Amino acid sequence: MTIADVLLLALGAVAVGAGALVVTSTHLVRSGLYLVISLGAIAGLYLVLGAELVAWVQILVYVGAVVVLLLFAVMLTRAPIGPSPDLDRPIGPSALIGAGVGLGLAALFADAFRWIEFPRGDPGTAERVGEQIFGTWVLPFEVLSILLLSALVGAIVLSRPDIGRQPAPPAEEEVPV
Amino acid sequence: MNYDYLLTGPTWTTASVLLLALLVVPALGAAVVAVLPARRDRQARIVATGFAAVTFVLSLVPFFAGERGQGWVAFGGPRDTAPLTPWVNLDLPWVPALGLRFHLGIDGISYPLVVLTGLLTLLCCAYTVRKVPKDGGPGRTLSALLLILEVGVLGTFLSLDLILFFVFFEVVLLPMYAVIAGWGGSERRAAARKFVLYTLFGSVLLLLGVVLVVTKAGTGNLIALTGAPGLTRTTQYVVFALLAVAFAVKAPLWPLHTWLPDAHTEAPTVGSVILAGVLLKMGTYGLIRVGVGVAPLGAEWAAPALGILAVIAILAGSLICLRQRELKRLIAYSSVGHMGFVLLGIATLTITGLQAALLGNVAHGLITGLLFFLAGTIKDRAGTGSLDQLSGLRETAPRLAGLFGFAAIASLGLPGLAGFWGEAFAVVAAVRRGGPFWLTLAILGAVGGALTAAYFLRLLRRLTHGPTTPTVHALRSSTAAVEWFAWTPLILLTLAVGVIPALVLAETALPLTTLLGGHP
Amino acid sequence: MSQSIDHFALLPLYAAAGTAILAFLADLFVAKRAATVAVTALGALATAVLALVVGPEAGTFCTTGACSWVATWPAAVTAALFAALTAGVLALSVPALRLGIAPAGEFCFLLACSMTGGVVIAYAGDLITLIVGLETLTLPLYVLVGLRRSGPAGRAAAASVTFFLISIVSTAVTLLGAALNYAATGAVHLALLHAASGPFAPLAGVGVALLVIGLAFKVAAVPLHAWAPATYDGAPLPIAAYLSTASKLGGVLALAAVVSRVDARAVTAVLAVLTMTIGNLVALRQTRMVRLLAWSSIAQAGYVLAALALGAAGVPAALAYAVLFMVLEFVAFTVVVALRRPGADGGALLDHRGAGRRSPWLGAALVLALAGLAGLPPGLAGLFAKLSVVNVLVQQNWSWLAAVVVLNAVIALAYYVRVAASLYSLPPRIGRSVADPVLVDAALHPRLPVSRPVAAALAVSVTVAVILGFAPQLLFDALT
Repeated sequence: MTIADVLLLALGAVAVGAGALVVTSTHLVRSGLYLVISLGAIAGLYLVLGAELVAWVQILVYVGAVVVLLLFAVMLTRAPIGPSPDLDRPIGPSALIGAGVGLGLAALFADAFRWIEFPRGDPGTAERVGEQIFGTWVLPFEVLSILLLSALVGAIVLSRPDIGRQPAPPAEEEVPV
Repeated sequence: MNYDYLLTGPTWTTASVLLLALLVVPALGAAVVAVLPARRDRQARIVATGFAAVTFVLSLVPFFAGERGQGWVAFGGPRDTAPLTPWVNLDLPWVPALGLRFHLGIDGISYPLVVLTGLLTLLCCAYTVRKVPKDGGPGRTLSALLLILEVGVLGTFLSLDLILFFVFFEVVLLPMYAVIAGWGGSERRAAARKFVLYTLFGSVLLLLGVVLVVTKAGTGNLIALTGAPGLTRTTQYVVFALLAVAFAVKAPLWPLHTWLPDAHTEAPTVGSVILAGVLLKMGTYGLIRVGVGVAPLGAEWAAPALGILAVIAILAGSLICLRQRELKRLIAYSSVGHMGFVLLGIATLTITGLQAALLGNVAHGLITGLLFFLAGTIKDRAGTGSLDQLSGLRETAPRLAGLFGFAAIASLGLPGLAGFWGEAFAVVAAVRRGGPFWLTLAILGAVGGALTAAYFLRLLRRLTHGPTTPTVHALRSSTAAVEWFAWTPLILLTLAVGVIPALVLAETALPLTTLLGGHP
Repeated sequence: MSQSIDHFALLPLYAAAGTAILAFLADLFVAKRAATVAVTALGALATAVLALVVGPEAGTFCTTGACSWVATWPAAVTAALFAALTAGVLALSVPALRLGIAPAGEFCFLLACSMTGGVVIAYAGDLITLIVGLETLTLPLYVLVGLRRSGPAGRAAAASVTFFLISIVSTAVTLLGAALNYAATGAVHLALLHAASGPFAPLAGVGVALLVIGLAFKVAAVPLHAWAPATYDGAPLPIAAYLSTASKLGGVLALAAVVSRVDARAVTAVLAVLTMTIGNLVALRQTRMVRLLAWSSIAQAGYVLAALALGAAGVPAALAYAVLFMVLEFVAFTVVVALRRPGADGGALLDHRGAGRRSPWLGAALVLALAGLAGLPPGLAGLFAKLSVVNVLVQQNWSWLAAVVVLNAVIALAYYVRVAASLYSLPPRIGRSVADPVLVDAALHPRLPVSRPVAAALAVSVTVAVILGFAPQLLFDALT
């Protein structure tokens, strides 16, 4: 086993373990912080596999933006900081399904790839990723821009009830009877 | 004679325009009547009657306009039987992606039914001018629905393309539902729903059968498919089974008849007349034209089963009628029995049997139509259809009682009236078919005929004779002019067909021979 | 290296995206609701016209062997249909926008973004573009479902969250399926998709199955169907109409693109049978109009899946069924919008009792739509749709599935006929009452005026439904 295999196993265990803790924890803020660890471990996995751009984008976007956003939302909506009783769902069925799916996928991959040694492809450097995106996949990239714009506008208009509100009709005079 | 022209290409003769007009005129009438405003309700109903009259006149024309009676014909090529030869033919492409062509035609088998449809719709529209059931919707909507029903039924009788046949078969479902649910009796919702679900079940089986035939044979053209052995034996068995169940729901054949009594009882008078007089004929016509015509081997295989079910229908219908206490329900169950005779005739798969079936069809349409008109009048006047409260009609309404007696006697099959030929010759055809099985069926059918007589005479004794009940005592005895207008043609035709069955059967020998795969 | 771009073939996409931007700018500079809505509607119509004018072209954004943007006639027709449905839904929203239920500029912008996603799905040539297009179609709808400035906001928010959660789960499943398939076969472009061989076959098979199940969410097929009734009922009526028509069309196109190239017959057949049956059986018990229409559209998606279960042979019939279903469903929703107050939801079935007597034309249009959905005349369009599906199933020797389809049609008629009958029924007269129940009912349910855009949308859609009913060959020719 090379050092890369050991790192993959270790980071994978961290990612899966942290992910399990995210969904089983009863503290909302702790869930958020476990998410940081899980996503950070996945960024580490990308680094081990040589995809440096994806790793840094993962950290920037997921860890930096998304998780910070989550924590801000928890703060601003005054979500409970301590243990929340309604996060305490029975985990039996979901654990069963999750374990089953994971086992099934693992078996599938093992059966498909076996112990064949594949030559490792070129690492996913920034140069190569840029070539692919702007060479072969320009169309979905541009369409994604429309998607993101609509997400931006949608988020704003949903969270700001004062946009587009009609002026209230003037109050009617009470007619004394 | 070269028959290729019947297989391809539109032929725009005046006669083929006539066929198109037969469908367009009632449709146009329905559209016109539907958009007339509510203030002009009565005028709208008169307009509808006008359109129905025009359609009836048009329906008489093909006998004189088409090329019938080919006489000696020479046919060669791959066929060893003469194809279906319509008097008038119209063939236009419609939806090639589905294999659907707008192919209409009329011949000796469908002509009497087309005329019957035109006549009954005219009588019903005229009846609606005067009498619309209260608590229902506006009368002009009822007239428009009757005209749409006419389009559907005429389309079924005229279509020579299998998928077109299916499309027109479906056209009658929702308008008939609307007629029953809108203007019917007290239990009309449940009766209408049962009717439409049962009938749609039959229709979807028809769809499967038709699509199977078109897929396996490569064409939907009835001219090319009739009697020709293009389908394998197994396919024909499966197709006939599907088609037989579909048409058995419509005809109806025991045990798929349970929608009929409720639908007939709860429908308004004109609804019952159209349902019994015309809609049921779609089932038996379909069985003859499509079932026996397209899958003859399947018909032979299923004939014994059909015969048994037909005889059970005759006997069961009669026995149930003996116990009925409600007038319209009794007539409804008598329809089951009559259709049993028709189906027995079809099951024998002989020329005599099929001719008996065709004649029984027309006779049933005329007589049961008349019976339902009279029952409707009685129910309107007396306010009830229960036989417990109706007795001694001849004391207060002698003419009505006399006419009812005439209709009942015609229905039970008295010689000299139309009903005799269908019943008697179905039994004769079964006897002539030979073999102990068919002989037994014939005997049972004859017993059923005797039971039919029994329950009708019992009905007459109860209804027209006997002491008057208070309900009958309070009856108005005058009959309106529109009612005489509705009854008279039916009475005259019952007599005429009874004395001269050739009126119906004149041109049927050649098409039926073709249908059964023989040579003329 | 960069790809060559054929801007002419991309004109529909430019028009759709341009409509969205123009809607925004109109709202910014002109700030009049009527102008914004008009600009968006004109843009949508321009997109439809451009799609039909551009027609079939050689693909663009091509790599070796396959293109990402594939312009064929069916693609042009479905893109035009997306644009037309968007214009129609805009017309339906005008009364609600007048009431201020949502800010007009953002509403039009989001709807136009959704239309852009639909256009991308129609022309997509590879799985990545397809999934991005699906997301672009769906994401604005999360917002539009939950956007209610007045009235009860609780249900709208719940509907939006349900829709959002199930949607992202299904997107995750779809992406996993696409990734597994890529790992096994190395192909992402639709034209290069092929069945894997050797040790990769099970992996590719699971990938395809997951792909189909994930995409089945979009058409609200079992097992990912439970969001549909709650979301349709909680959303504003025009958005429910859009979800039921355009969003479903996107799902059908995506599924058709996948199943016509890889073998997903077993999965799709199972999904089809379950969807049809469960959709029809549960619809029998519904008491609210929009929920009933939602369950009925679940069942209709099952019929489309039945045709898709045949693979490439069934795609034309499935697309024809989908288009005919869209038109009839749009008519049904337009009538419900016209019968209700602006900004109200669909109401219970009892609220619509007798509506056919009060407004004869609206009742007739709804009866046409319901009959078509049931597959009976006078809705000939629906009859030909069912006929084409049954035809192709029997031709490909899948008669058992054809039998399931037709038996489900019988079950479905039970609830369609119930709704149609209640349109014309009178309130029951029980015993003696102080006031005539018929008059009381008429007073409680006044005949509401129908605004002009809604009436125009209804007229156009009913005309299209009738034309397609009498001449369906036009559609069949356009989709091949």
